[in-house]
Amino acid sequence: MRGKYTKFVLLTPALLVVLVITAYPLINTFTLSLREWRLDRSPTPGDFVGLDNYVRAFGDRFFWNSVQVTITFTIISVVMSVVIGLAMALILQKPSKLNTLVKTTLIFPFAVSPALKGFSWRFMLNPSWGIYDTMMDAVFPFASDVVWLAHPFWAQFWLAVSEVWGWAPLIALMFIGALGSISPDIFESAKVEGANNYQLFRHVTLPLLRPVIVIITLLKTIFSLKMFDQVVTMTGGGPGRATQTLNYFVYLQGFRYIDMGYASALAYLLIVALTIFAIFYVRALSGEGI
Amino acid sequence: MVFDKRILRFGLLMVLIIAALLAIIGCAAPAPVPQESTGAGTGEQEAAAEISPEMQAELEKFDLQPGKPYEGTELNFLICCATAAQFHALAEKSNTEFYELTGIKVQWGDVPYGSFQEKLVTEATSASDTYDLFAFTDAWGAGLKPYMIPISDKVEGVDHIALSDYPEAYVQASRGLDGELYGLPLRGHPFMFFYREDVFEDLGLEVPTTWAEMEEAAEVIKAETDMYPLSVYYGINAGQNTFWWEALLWSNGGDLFDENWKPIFNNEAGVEATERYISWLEKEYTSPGSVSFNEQEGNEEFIQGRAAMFMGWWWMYSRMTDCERGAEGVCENTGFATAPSWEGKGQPRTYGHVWPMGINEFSNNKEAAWEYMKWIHSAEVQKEIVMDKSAPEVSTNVATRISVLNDPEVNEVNNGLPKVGGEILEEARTNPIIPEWLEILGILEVGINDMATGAEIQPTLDQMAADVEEIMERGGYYDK
Repeated sequence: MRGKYTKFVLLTPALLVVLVITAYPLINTFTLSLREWRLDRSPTPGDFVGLDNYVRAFGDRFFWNSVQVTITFTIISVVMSVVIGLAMALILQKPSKLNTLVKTTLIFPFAVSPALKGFSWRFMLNPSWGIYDTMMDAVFPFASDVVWLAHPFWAQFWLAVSEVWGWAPLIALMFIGALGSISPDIFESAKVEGANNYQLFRHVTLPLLRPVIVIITLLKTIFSLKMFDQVVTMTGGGPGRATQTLNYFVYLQGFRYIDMGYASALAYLLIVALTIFAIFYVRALSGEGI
Repeated sequence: MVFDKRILRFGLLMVLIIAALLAIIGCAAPAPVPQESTGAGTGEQEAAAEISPEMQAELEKFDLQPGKPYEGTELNFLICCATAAQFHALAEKSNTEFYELTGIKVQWGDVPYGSFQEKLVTEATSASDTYDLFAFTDAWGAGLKPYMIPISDKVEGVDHIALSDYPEAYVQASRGLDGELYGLPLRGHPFMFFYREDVFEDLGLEVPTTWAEMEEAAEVIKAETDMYPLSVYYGINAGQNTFWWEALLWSNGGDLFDENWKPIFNNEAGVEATERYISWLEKEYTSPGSVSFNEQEGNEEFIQGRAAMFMGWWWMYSRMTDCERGAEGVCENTGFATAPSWEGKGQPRTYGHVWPMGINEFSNNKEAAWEYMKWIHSAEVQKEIVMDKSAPEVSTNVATRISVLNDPEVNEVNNGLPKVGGEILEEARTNPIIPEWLEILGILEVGINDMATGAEIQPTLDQMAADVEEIMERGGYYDK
């Protein structure tokens, strides 16, 4: 009795909750994506239109722009977060009172609400009174005429920086944990063999951290793909459409233009992309490799 | 075995509980059916209380029902920015004076402007009765009106609310596509020209009446002071960068659409207006940061003394004249005037921005809500609000009734601003009140921002027009 049914019985409540809060919205959104539904015309969904909303998305240059922006943002933010996080971890891994204090405070940037992050960075980059803008002007006088959020490249860059500011410290903490789990004997042996610091990092630390790097990269990729909050509060998707990420584009269609059918189709395309990365992530976590 | 049975029983119990909950949720969510107007609120009382002659006079003045039939009713009013002076003063009065007359309490929402539209859409379209009244900006109205009750008949029955006492642009924006009235203008704003009187006086400049004169003044200010002559806002934020552009477009004889709903803002007049608008950035009349500024940031440039001229809504006047807020010299020297016109092309034409207020179709307190609307839209209440200068948090110049705008007493305490605002509103117009407007606005504001950051003007306008045409075609505006 115990072996055959218990596990199913114990799992049932959780499965029901998942069904209600995940499966139902997913199925409902999918059916909506096959229908015409403009909320400003009708409070209830309209006719089934087959794959029209998906076809419209693939012919919509603003959709493709948001895909391109999302990919660019994801690459910049993931690479910067992982590299800076790893560098911070290497610096802070040695036990000392100062490092302990710094490690404790590292979690704070991640705890700041993303929307607040966006507002703060917008203020800090303001060309008239922003503290970062003033600092950048002092350090790089040749850039004093640059309005950071008015240039497509720099707007994307600073949007990514605002994300890295929150994520890199968290990733550093993850790496510190991973570095602590590597046996000191391995480093000792390599040193005895004559390895210098660079060789230790290149041939010992990095290979041993590889599984953690993969997991962190996938996790950060998933979060970057659904970037939304800072776009709203920091750039509004601008200049032009330079920072209009896919998730923000879905929001615009759904909640600004209240075209629920089209927004559902776009949301589903985002879900497909996220699912692919989620599968890789789960496989990496379970040690199956990607 | 006993343990197994317990687990089995527990599991089955959980399943039953969750299934029961689901059933309850399912049963409790009927298809959205608009509530019938019952003619009485939840707190309706049959017995009329004794009324003093003074109270009776007050009730008659506002056309309110005697006997407090809705006493105990609590209305929820969904509105943004309740702490802004123009709203705060009304909210305060509602729960003192209106409450004394009717026994109805009104709870004002306070949703930040940035997320207000989403909140409105969610509340309206989910057939929720949480809010009895909505305030909405004109541009959002077309999408919301299917969820509000028509009030044309109700308005006709109230003597003190005459539609002729409102600027035409405000009334138009309060109507639906069917011509019905769905709201009354609660707050409304003419788009005005503000300037630094001291700077103009020092440099011997006259208040510009045309865009060319404004540009001449800008050249002098640029040469003679360390201020930016103008503070423009080209950034993306709820279409704010279109206001000034429209003032140029309309004053140049251009328009957004022709009579067949074909976009025409990329014609000669449109290109000329847009080139002029963008040139102010290139000529360094405005801060380079203007390309990402929203309206508030643009206004802040003026308030902090970094710019000498600004165009914006008149409600900003109370901010600009708040001496505790701005840079030295700004509050005492903020002048205002109508927007400049295009030289040789007649009167200036600007956007008259209005916040109509209407009743949620799903409200259970429609009649009590109408009582509140009768009171809050009266000229008398409007006058009291704009006369009150007792504290900065309630000090406002915002009124929508023409009779209040032209009232000598009101003008005396508001430095003549209401009268100038009224003159602007005579020529003001509204944006197209169509469901597609917000999507179109998205195209316009992004295109303007693109051009401000270097995109070529004619090709960008052409592309914007093509995108707008696609939206209109999808909306079924053209014969196939």
